[in-house]
Order: sequence, then structure tokens, then C-alpha cells
Amino acid sequence: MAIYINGTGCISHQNTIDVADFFENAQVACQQRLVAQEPDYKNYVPANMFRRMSHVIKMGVAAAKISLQQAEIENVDAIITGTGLGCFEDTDKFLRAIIENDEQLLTPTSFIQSTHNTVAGQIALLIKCHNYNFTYTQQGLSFESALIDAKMFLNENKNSNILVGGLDEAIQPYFDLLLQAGEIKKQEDIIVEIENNKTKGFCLGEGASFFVLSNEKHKNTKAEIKGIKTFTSLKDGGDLQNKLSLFLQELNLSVNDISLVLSGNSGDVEDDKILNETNRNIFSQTNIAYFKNLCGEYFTASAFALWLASAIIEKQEIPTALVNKPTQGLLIKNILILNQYRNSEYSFMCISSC
Amino acid sequence: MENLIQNLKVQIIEQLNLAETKPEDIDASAPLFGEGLGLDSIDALELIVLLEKNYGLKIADPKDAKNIFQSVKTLAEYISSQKK
Repeated sequence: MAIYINGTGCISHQNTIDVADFFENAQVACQQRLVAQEPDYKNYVPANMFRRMSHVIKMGVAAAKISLQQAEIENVDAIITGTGLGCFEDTDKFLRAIIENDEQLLTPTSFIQSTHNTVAGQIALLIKCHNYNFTYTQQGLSFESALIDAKMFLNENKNSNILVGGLDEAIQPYFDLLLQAGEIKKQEDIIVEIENNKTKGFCLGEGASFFVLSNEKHKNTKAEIKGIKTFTSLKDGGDLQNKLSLFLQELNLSVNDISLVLSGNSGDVEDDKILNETNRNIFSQTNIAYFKNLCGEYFTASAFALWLASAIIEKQEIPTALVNKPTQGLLIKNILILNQYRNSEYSFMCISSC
Repeated sequence: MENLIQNLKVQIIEQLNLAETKPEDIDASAPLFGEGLGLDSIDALELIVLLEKNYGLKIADPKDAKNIFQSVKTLAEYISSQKK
């Protein structure tokens, strides 16, 4: 059954609110921590709800509202989100308050807002949606898990509209911990060509990307999600390549049918080994672009990649920041997103024009 | 009392994240809940924590809370009365 993307919304390190500006001015970022460019949230969130919302809730609610506006609907049959860390800022606040106040005098707001499903709940409250509401937290496959659930929901409930999103925040205490642990790339080691990195570490990112999905086409339909697969244990690069061949076979596609690969290299020389090997062995003749030098590495960066793939297919244009050779006139029919998180979780997503 | 009212206004704005509100916007006699500042039940819990944390005061009888949290002025009067 076809799954169409009828609306998208994205808050990221780039100006993804204004798609035209993004295609013109997107820039590879060379910072250790890539924070999101935030819109005027008051355009999306009522003042009485706004004051209690943390950074990630605002990003999520705004991205969800934008995707609903694009799909020209006000309510949905299901809200499904994926997040690795959930509302980490409020979790951090609450835990610090427990320690600082000797387990006394704890304020309720941080506690209430610290759960992983807060964003899905806040969206439901905002649009008054009493339907299916679920949040997946499967580390680097959190967004993909939400998407798989959305696919199953659409299979069982025809003519539904589903809001699906992936979101995570790069708050300072989390960044500091990763820095201390040596996970963040040293500033002097950051290079523009993420695929050519010879050093360890990654740049931390954040963002929220939402999608209105349906099995019904709409006048604003942007693209179709052809397939999705996830893997948590790979033997080696050959194993990933075999799985990729099977995935393409199941979709009745060959390597030559792929117009563009969006590769989830994080910039870590060890973690990227398998993706680089796969790209070299299978996609030597295919356009390859890298997206984590635009948004940073985070648990749900694949949601940014899906937003990007959907925008590229809709505009039939690849932002110049992503490719180092001219792509004008290229018919962009199928985009394959190859993602990895810390070389332990892998996913494939195939997006097609329709 | 005026100083206490002023301090309470600043603390309430900070504790409840009323970023758009300035101390001078709060009428000390106006209701805190429903009308006036339009606070809700979560804010009531935040105010109880504020009272205990900043003034060391616990409301022993929950029935008294309705009158104590009527306005900034009644809150200030309660704090003053407990200090004596």
C-alpha cells in the first residue's frame, strides 16, 4: 500500500522553515554543536501553553503545526513520535532539583514535561486529538520505529491521516558530557567533506521533523515512502550490502533506479566505515549527498533526512551545498536514505516521486 | 509590605515563566487564578513550592490555600503574619 507524504515541517540547524531559502543558502556547518534556528514560536503555539514548553517541545509542536498547515488538515487519526532522549532539558532540571533540594521541594512542571511522550501529548492537547498517540524511543532507530508503526496503522486503517515525527535536542549538559567522554569531534578536526574524515568523533545536532502521512494522495502530496528497513546487528559491510540488495529487490528497484543516495555519515572515521564501503561498492555511479554536515548527528537525524528527501523530490532540485557536481536536469525519481547511528543501528528508507 | 509584594511579583514571574509579564503588570489585588493572571492548578503547585523554598512556609490546612492564594496581596499578608 502506498504511503504519501502530504505535509512536512522541520526545525533544524538550517533555515528549514523557509524551503526556498534553504535550497539557496543551506551551508555545511563546521561547529561541534549545531543548534536549531528557531522561528517565532508564537506563530505556532498559544501563549498560555508556550510558557511551560521547553526547547524540544517548542521545536516539535512548531514542526507538527507546519506539517498540518501544509497538508491543509487540522486534526489527525494518530500521532506517532520517535525520540532518543525525549524532553532531556526538563529531565535534567528535575534530576538536578532532586539533588540540590535534597529530594524536597520539587516543582511539578519539570516532572510533568520530562517524559519522552510529552511532545506527542502537547500536540494532541493543542489540536484536541483524542486518537492513537504513541512515542517510540529506540535510540538511533526511534524515528524509523515510529514510521514503521505509522505504516502498519495505515495498513489497518484506510483513509487515515497520521502525524509522524522525530525530535531530539542538543542541550548544553548533554553536549558537555559527550565532550568529556571524547565523543565530540575536536574543533580542529572538523572538515567540510564529512565523508573524507580521518578522525574520531561527531558534531552534535538537534531538530524536529514532522510528516503528515496518508494512503490517499492530496493536491499537496510531495512524495511517496516506498520502503523502510532497520537493522541492529550487522556482521560487516558485506552484510549491509546484501541486505540493501534484498531491500531494493523487494521494491522492484535496481541500483540504476536510485537518483540520489542520502548517506548518514556522522564524520566519525570508525562509525562511517561500513557506509563508505557500501557507497564505494554499490553506488560508485550514483549521486551521493551527505546530510549530517547540515543537521549534526543525533538519534533522530534520519527524520531530517526524510524531510530533505521529500523537499528534493518536490522541488526536483538538490541544494548546491549537498553536491559537488552540477545536477541540473537530473530527474529525481527515487532517493535512498542510508543511515547509521554509532555503527550499531542502521536503516534504509526509499522515497519516490509520485 | 510593599517590598514583599514587589518581591513576590518578581518571584512569581520567574517561577511560572511568565516571560511576557512585568511586575508592574500584576495588580496585587487581582485574582491569581481564573481571572487576573489566569493561573491554573499546576501553577498552584509551583506557588506552594515557591512559598516553602523562599519563605520556609508550609500550608498546614489545604482549606486555607484558597484564601492565601487569592491574590499577591493575600499571599504577602499570609507571609507577614507567619513571620510575626
